[in-house]
Amino acid sequence: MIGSSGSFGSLQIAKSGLEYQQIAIDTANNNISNIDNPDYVRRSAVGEEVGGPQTPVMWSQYTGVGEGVTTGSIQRLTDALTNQRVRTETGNLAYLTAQQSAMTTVETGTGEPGDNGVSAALNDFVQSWQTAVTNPGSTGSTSGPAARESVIAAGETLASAINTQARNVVSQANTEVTQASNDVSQINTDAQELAKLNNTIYLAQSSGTETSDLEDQRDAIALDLSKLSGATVTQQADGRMTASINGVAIVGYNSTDGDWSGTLQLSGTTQGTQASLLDQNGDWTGAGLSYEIETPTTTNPASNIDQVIPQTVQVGSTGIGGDLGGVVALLAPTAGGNSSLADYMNGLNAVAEKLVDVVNSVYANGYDADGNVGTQFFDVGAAATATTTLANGNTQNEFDTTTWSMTDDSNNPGSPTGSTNGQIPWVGNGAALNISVDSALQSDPDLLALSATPGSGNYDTTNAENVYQALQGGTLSYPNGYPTPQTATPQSLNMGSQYSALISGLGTAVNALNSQASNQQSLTTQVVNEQQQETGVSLDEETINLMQAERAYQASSRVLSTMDDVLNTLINGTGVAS
Amino acid sequence: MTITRVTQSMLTNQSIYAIDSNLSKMSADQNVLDTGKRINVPSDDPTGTATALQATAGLANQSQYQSNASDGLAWLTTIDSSLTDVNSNVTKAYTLALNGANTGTNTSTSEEALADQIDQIKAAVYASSNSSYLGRPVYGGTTTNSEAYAIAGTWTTTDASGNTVSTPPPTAQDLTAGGYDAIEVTSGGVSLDGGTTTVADGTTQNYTLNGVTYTFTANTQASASDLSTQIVYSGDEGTVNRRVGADTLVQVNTSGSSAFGDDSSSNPSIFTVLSNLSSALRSSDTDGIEQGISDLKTYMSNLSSAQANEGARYNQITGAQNVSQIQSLALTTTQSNAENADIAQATIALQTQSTAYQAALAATAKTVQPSLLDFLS
Repeated sequence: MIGSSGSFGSLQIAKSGLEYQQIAIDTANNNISNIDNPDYVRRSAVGEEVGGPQTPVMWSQYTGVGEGVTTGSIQRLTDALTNQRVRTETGNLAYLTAQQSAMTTVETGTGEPGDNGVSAALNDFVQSWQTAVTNPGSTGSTSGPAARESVIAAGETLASAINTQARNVVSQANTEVTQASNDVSQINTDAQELAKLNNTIYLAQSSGTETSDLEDQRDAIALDLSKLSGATVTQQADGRMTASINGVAIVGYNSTDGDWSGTLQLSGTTQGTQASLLDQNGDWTGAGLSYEIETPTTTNPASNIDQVIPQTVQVGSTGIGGDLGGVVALLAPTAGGNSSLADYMNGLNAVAEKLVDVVNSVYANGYDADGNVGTQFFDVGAAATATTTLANGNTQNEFDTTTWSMTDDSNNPGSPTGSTNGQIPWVGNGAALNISVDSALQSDPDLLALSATPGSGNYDTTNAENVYQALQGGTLSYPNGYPTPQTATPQSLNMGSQYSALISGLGTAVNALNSQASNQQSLTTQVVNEQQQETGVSLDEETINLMQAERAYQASSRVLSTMDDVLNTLINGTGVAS
Repeated sequence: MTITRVTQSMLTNQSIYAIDSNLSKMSADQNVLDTGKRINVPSDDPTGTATALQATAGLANQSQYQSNASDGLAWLTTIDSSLTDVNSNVTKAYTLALNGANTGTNTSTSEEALADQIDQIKAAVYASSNSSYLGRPVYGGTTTNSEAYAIAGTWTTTDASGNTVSTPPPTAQDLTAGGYDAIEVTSGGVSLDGGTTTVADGTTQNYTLNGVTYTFTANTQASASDLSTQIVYSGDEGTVNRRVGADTLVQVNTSGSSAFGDDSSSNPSIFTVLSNLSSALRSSDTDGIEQGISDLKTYMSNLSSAQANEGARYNQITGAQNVSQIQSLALTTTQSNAENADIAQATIALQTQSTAYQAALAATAKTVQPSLLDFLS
């Protein structure tokens, strides 16, 4: 048997309707206000009917039809799996674009194909030897040493074109190192924030506080973390988000430390040592940048006292994703590859070394205008390593624009282990950075060894012809009766092909990065759209929600006035004689 | 992906993505038209870049071959014209020698006149032997001297004590070692060292080399036509080559010995032959004249072969020049195909892209603007 809830009870039902519709209007209003906020997840007020007791009580029965409505919760309409996918793809995109932008800059810096690049300078240099063959005059001769000077000038132009390109690569690499440093500090900040928010949200939810705003913030930070480091962020059963980079946890929870965050830092940069990307030959060392994370352990087994012992876990140099991963990949040489800055620098060094070998090995067997043996054409002597002593006692080389300084954060449950410093010296004896024309030659063109005939000075130009041939990978010839070359075994290599293979390799790498990045961009856009389909605010929908809530509010008001009429009739109309 | 909800931000994202990608494609197309090049950075076409770079290097080579060929042809032309002069002079000398051989009709005066003409011819041949191109004597090999042949003066060789010794006169190389470049007869006297040290007529110049003092006595009479004058080779045996093709190296000089002889029995030196002929005429030495006629015949035959050899090399260079021009053309085509934009295609691509871009803009304008709010009053 259904009973009545009483007249005033009906008023209460109408009141609950008014309250709920008010909240629904506010929610729609909030959704509309945040339509342009990229981190915002649309919300919906979930109404719950207020009914009788769910469990029947002995000797008692609920006879009502329902007690109105209440706002059960404000639901964030988001999907953890889609978010995870967005984070992964955003990290992948950042990984590719970091590489794409650096490699494109280097590629543009080569100026190839064009009239001002290394290849044009190389062509001029090769042909200048023919000019000298045609006109080997020395100082005091009818035509003067013009052609000799042109060979030296072309050599200087070529050397400086190679230097310029090498410096471009180095300066790009320096930018990347700075970028890595910025990324690392942002990653550490994000990790701390994530741990803090985990804690705040957990506590707030325990006390029933609305946490949608905080969760929006946390999602944004998790996205940033993935974008910067390719971190895997996972939502745990208790609502906490844990993060790990390359499988090493950086944000986590355990009962002793609570919500903790680790600190990412560059490996092998202890006080007083230098993390060197270039070895003494100016080649990239195999190491590249490598990272480690300091994480706390729970107990100290020796003392059996709960004590935080920081523990360092190697992240390594491969497997890091996101922007930092892109930078790390740029700075690490790949096996036989041409896809990173390091590869290109090594390739350029190799071309410069071969150039020096070929020219000098042939040149050294010639004789200058006075009949003396030629020494060397190109010089790759020890670089001018102007060093500055830093405050920490380390030396800093020229071009060394990067000083690492990573300090553990005291907010980190892992106790600080002190600061670490490291410099990345960019000056080695790399051929590409240091190639130049022999200084004695620069000041005296008569020293140019064009002749292959010993004895007093003559206008034999066989050696110039040989240098020309050697630079094109041709066969070398020496005059009859001239014994085997004395000082060096002449080498012959087509330098044009060597360099064009390098440039073509760079082009292929950039081309591949461009298409990968473009595909990834398209994929990321699609995944973000998929996420927005779930979490985005639709104005049409919110307008309809508003209308619906407005009408419902009006209807609840109507119920109130109806009840008022009913009560009026009941109170004022009954018992009164008409 | 099944689209269940479409939200404003989805539309915005999609629009931005479409507009961005259209715009970047349009900018790439525009860049192609602006530069006229299909390849502006290596990544535009990595293999095409390699082709273009190789073609550019090949073109530089061909252009160098062509300028080498011009230079080589100039050397050979200089040689050809001087050898033609020598040929006509020597033919004249041959006729004169035949005249001189007619012992019955010649008087001593007429023989003296013939001898004088032979001396003039010797001077003319000497002048031809020093033909030069751009300051380099074409018969001097790779010498740094300005002349291939020099006139030797009178040399007296004495030891440290001043006694005459039998050391032969210094060679051109010794002179260089002694600080002299060449000996030259000028109107003012005989000069050593290319004119920087002039030895006045009748005076002497000493210099010491390896403990031996050489004394050079200048004599204005020592001209090329002078019977007693020795003409010595001051060049070397080096060859001057020009590369006129990847595998074609052509010698563009003619050695002094093949053009003017080297005093061997099969290749008599024209200067010695003419000197001997002149003196035989003066002394009415019939045998000497006959020997001279025979030597001149040998020399003329040698000269013809030297000229033929020079002509063959000339042809070789002209042939290589043609090949090089054809190759230049082919390489230019290769380079252009690899590097240059097809303007018509690029224009159409830009137009198409521009239409797509406008469509994206129009679509954005239509989708982003309206919502239900626009239709509620």
